[in-house]
Amino acid sequence: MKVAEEPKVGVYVCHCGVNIASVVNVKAVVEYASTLPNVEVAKDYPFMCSDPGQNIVIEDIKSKGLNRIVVASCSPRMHEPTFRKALERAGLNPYLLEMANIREHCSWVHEKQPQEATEKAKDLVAAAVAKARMLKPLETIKMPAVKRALVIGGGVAGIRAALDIANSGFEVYLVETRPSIGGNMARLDKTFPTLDCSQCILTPMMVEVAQHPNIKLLTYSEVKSIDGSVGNFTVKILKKPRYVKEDVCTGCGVCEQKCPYTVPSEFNLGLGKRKVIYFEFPQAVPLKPVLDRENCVYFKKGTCRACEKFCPTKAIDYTQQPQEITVDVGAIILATGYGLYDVKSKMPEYRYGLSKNVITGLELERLTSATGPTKGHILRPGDKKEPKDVAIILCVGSRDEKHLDYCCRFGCVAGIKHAYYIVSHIPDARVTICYTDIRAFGKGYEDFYARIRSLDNVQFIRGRPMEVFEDSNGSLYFDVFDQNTNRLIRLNPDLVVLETGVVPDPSFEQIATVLKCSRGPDGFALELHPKLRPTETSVDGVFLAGVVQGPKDIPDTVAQAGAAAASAIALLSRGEVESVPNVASVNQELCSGCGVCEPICPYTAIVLEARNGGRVAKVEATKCKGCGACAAACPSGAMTQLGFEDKQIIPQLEVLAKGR
Amino acid sequence: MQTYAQTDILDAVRGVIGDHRPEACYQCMKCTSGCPAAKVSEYKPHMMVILTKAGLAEEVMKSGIIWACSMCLKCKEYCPQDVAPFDVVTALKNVAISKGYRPPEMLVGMSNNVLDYGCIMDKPMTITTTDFEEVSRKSLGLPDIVHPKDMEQFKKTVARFGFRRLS
Ligand SMILES: Cc1cc2nc3c(=O)[nH]c(=O)nc-3n(C[C@H](O)[C@H](O)[C@H](O)COP(=O)(O)OP(=O)(O)OC[C@H]3O[C@@H](n4cnc5c(N)ncnc54)[C@H](O)[C@@H]3O)c2cc1C
Ligand code: SF4
Ligand code: SF4
Ligand code: SF4
Ligand code: SF4
Repeated sequence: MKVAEEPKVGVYVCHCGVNIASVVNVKAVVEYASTLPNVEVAKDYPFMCSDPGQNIVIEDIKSKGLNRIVVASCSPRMHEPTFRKALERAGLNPYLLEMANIREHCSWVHEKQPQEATEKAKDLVAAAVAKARMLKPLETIKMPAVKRALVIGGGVAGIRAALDIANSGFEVYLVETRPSIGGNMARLDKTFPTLDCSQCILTPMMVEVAQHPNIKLLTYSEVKSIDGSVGNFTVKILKKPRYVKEDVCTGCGVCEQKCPYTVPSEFNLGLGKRKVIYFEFPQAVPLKPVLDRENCVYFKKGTCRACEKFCPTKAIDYTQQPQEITVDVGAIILATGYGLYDVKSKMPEYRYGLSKNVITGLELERLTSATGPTKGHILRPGDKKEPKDVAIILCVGSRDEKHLDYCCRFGCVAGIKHAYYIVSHIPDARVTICYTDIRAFGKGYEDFYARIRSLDNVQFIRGRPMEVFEDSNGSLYFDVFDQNTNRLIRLNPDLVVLETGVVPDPSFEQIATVLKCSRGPDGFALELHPKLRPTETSVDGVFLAGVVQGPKDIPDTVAQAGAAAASAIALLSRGEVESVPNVASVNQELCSGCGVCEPICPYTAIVLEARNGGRVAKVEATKCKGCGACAAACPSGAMTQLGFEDKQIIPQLEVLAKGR
Repeated sequence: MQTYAQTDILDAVRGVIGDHRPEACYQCMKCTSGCPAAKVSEYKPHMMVILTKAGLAEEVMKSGIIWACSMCLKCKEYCPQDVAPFDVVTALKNVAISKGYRPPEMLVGMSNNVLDYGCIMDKPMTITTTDFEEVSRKSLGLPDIVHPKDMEQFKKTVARFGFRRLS
């Protein structure tokens, strides 16, 4: 094959400490590489990615006039950007680099076959050289970024992220499905380990959101669609009608008082009632009521209209329609949080949903909160009496191969906090905590655990019950084997609290699908790297905050929200996004206008435009993700993917197919 | 001082139980909390699993637990780690017999009754509850036990499964 400019290839083989060199015979690979066509120099080094390693490459480019570089090391996902920058520093186009992955593809997977691993490494290097000879310089794609962000979900994660972005001077849209922001933290009475009142620390942040000039708060709203990519997303948001004119309503609450009808309260998890026109909770932000159309007598029968009659500012508007709002944003933060595992249908053995006096930990939060259905008196739902003997079961549905195989990460300390709620509200009550392992790992958590376990009326049993029973009088009982005392214990609690596992908010699946953002096997958002890039997603410009990424307590949630905001701020303040130019490109001379490519593109990046009485395909480079589907499908050979052109990958494949 | 060791018993157990690996057990006690046999036996299902894993299965085989298991399968149904102590017990029973251990006399009798009458006793009239009460089958509305019509054929059939008289 003819090559335009005579290629001078440098091959650099990395030991990766011992990761590669303990299996692959690096010297043999180098020796072999130096015999390949157009290879000027082949070297090895313990850590190619280190500064001295990169300097070897840079020096060789300068002194030997190398114009193609092959690095045989780890996955390009790890260090391709590193070496591209090195090429740039040496004055070479960064896309004249090819990587051979001899760590993940050789030493790690063929640990026990060093001979074969070495042969495979040679093949991969030869293939990379074959491709590198044919590489062409490419230009990085640069586009302006919209200096505005979108935060989806208004729990403590979304609130913190929105405030951080707004405080750095950028505009933020905060979208929340519920009528108020606050999320699950607003449901908590106190927060471990310091036991601050949850509302007292959360409401000031919520009010700041409402008053911030840079935050556009859209509650009772849903994201309908998201198009585009990093720097330039177009988002359609549906604002559901509250049937209350928000600019006229003063939040006086007369409508709520006068409405004659009640239904179970979602905020109180069905434990209490709310009116049909209601505030989610007394500190709701925005402090505007919502009329629940499904249950409103006016909408059902045309009668009542009490709220309209009594509203002093004439804010009720039964004719309000859903409103669609379209916004352009440069960055998106996902903060959709969590819901509880459905123990009612999945774990009937614990009788949740069958016995009224079996409740979840989150329900106990509402029964303890001063704004809850019992006004802060802990009364068991069955008979509204104070419980005197409470059993708390940890790990319900969590760490369980038949249910959720991960740890909920706050159940243990929440359970310990719940024991505190009981004994501080009802001093003559006894609490038994059935645990498997106490995971009190956060700052100050061990102290808190020590404090509660030293109480006389709180007992810790190391064992998990199998079933909870109810006798014919409606009394609960169960057996649990206590490994600490080596005894089977019979408990007769009058209230059972289940610290249930948590799952991603059900709406997250759809958002992830729309954004093409990866989810883990557990359904939570998958971070780009579990250790080094915990707030980024597989989609550029989309960041993660809070439990959407996996269970975490408030301190971790807030820390991650700050980190996600910082990433978004960095992007917005750059004002420009760069992307790798491995995009599709049409040779319009060859294109027959057949249109095969257009429906194949998963990102709608291809349009067919009129030309010379016919039509030809055109690729919008900013939308193209470089998947290559169109290039493979094009019957005329008109579509190529830059950096993966036929004349580049065919020589590479030929090497692999023929062996050496 | 005792030490933990790998034994052929652990391998034999693994061979019998397939996917329900005893090594996954994290000692949550869920099996023991609900096990009807654990109420009467010194060795509990969770111990049986962990002792087998630690190479101390001989100790479990000598104990009564493997024969006390009432085969209710609750441990298998509820174990959060898919361990199935029941499968471990069953495997240990097989290993025990092959190593020449003899089950308790009552079980030997029951087993031989099956060969003689096609049932664990000649005329079972009662059922034992999880609280060890004897309740008549009639009071629960359960039908009488029907014996095999052709005992000779029955004996031939069970012999095919390797069911032999214990002497
Ligand atoms: C019983 C219990 C007790 C706890 N106690 C403590 C404690 O004492 N201390 C502590 O540190 N942690 C505690 N936690 C953990 C704490 O609740 C979480 O860390 C925290 O709520 C996580 O916040 P978040 O914003 O990530 O999620 P969430 O609080 O779940 O907020 C998510 C928000 O997003 C909204 N949303 C969801 N989907 C969409 C969508 N598609 N579009 C728009 N909006 C959407 C939701 O309506 C919600 O407002 C406890 C948890 C439980 C279950
Ligand atoms: S019209 Fe509907 S919301 Fe208004 S008071 Fe009557 S039932 Fe309540
Ligand atoms: S945090 Fe505690 S209760 Fe929750 S799953 Fe983990 S160990 Fe179990
Ligand atoms: S490479 Fe993939 S994303 Fe780009 S235009 Fe072709 S099909 Fe669409
Ligand atoms: S239920 Fe399963 S995991 Fe728990 S102790 Fe028993 S065997 Fe082990």
